[in-house]
Amino acid sequence: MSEIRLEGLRHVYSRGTPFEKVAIDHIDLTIPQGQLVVILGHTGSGKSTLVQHLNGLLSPTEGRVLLDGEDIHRSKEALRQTRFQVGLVFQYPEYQLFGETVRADIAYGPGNMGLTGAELDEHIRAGADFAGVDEALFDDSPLDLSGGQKRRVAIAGVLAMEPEVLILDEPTAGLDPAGCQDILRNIRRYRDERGATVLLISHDMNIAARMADRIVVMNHGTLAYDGTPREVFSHAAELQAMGLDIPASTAVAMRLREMGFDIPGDICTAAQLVEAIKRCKGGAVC
Amino acid sequence: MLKDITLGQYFPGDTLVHRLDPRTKLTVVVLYYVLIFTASSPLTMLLAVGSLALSVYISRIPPRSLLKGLKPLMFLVILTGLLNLFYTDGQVLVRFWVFRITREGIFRSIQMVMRITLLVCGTFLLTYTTSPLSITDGLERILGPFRKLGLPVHELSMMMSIALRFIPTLIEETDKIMSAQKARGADFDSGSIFKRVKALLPVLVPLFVSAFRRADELATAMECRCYHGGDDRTRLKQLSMGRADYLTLLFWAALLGAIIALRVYGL
Repeated sequence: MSEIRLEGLRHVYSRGTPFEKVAIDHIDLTIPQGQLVVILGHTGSGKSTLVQHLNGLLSPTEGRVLLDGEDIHRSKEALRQTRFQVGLVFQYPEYQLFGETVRADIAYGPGNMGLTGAELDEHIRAGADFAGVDEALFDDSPLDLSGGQKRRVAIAGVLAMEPEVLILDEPTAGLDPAGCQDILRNIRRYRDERGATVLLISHDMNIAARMADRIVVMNHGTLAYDGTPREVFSHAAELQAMGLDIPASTAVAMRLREMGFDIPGDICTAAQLVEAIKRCKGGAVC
Repeated sequence: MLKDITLGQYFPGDTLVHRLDPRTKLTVVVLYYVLIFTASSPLTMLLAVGSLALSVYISRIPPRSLLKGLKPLMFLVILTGLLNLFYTDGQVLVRFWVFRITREGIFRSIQMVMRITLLVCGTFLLTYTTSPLSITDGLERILGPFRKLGLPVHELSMMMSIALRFIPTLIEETDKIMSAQKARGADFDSGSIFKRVKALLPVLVPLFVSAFRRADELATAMECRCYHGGDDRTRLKQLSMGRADYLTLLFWAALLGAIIALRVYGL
């Protein structure tokens, strides 16, 4: 079990200098075990700052971060354990690779947990498998791999710690469509098999609509919307006003409604759209 | 921890100190260095402190952030103070074990600590109020005449501005990589010194890899924009000296003159 709760979280960067900036402001959020949450928001809305609080990389200026009801900053040891329990994959994680071999790099996290021998090896293999890293690459230098492979090795390095909560900051940025699908499928598989909580920062609304159990929208450091994809995307016009995209299906549905068709306002996936159009066709309008 | 390094950090602003031509500010800083090492009596030291305080006041830079720049140099400051305190000959005031404190020692020690502090604060005031780009621009112009002697002035200042430009980038990058490795359980703050150095390896390798990548990309980008050195290059921002610049130079020259005169008359 690992439930994350944020209470009145506030973070101010560079306090007391001309660069002072409130990055997030009084955020209350509870994320139960096993949920797949997509965090949306335009650049600078505080998404990355928010997730760096969840494993204690940043400490809140005000407020508390609770994991299973206990403050993660209560002691140094607790904070260290939190880092293993809450795995964070940064944006462009391939720039953090340093190991001489792929195996050594993936082993870094579980090694820091104190694992050795067969147990360590098992964690490395599991992490590589979940991230889609071929074991044939284990003895290559991670710096010689292609961009997509590097990304997978970096993700494997975090998955090998088998975190109960997995946070990924734009894991698909800069990858080709096939690479994107692959990584998202692997994340979903990790969630399903391990029952892990997953937080995903993304800019891709189609991904958000399709994958998320719950969507959290951030705007200027505060929570703008929090709900199921259908609930959140029913505010399509407001999201667009915030400078965010909407899923392609939502856009089509909006246009159809403008044209006078009786289509519900909370469409966000292709399947829902097809269903709505079929129902509409049977109805009186067409 | 890395945020404590403030070298080359620029606090944007729009005060008289910010607006001065970088050549003026560079010249004033050099004059000020001469000034603090000429000033030796309490009166002249007071003038040195007062003139810097006035400049800081005009620049609206919080004095706290100036003093923060001293933190990494604290060891040097304290060591200089102690050495001067114990190793100056003169009228002995206190004597214990192998140490003795003299009246001259106390005075010398205060003087040296003040000089280093002023030196550092003066330099930081320059870098806080002048963007790295204008500093190197100013330097290039001041050193211009040496080009005739074969000194590659433009290349040197270009190298310097690139180096300065990339300090914050590399600090940011280091922070990012450290965070990423911390997220994988890296521990940089405990254990023996040997263990801590070893813990930095996962930071240094990616940092060097990315520094080389950046250098490569920058070189390509510069070549794509037809950069071919300093010959015939024009500037977007032309430096120009205004009335405020000449008055500032005059003020500092007069102050330095006054302090030299006071010293000659033994005040």
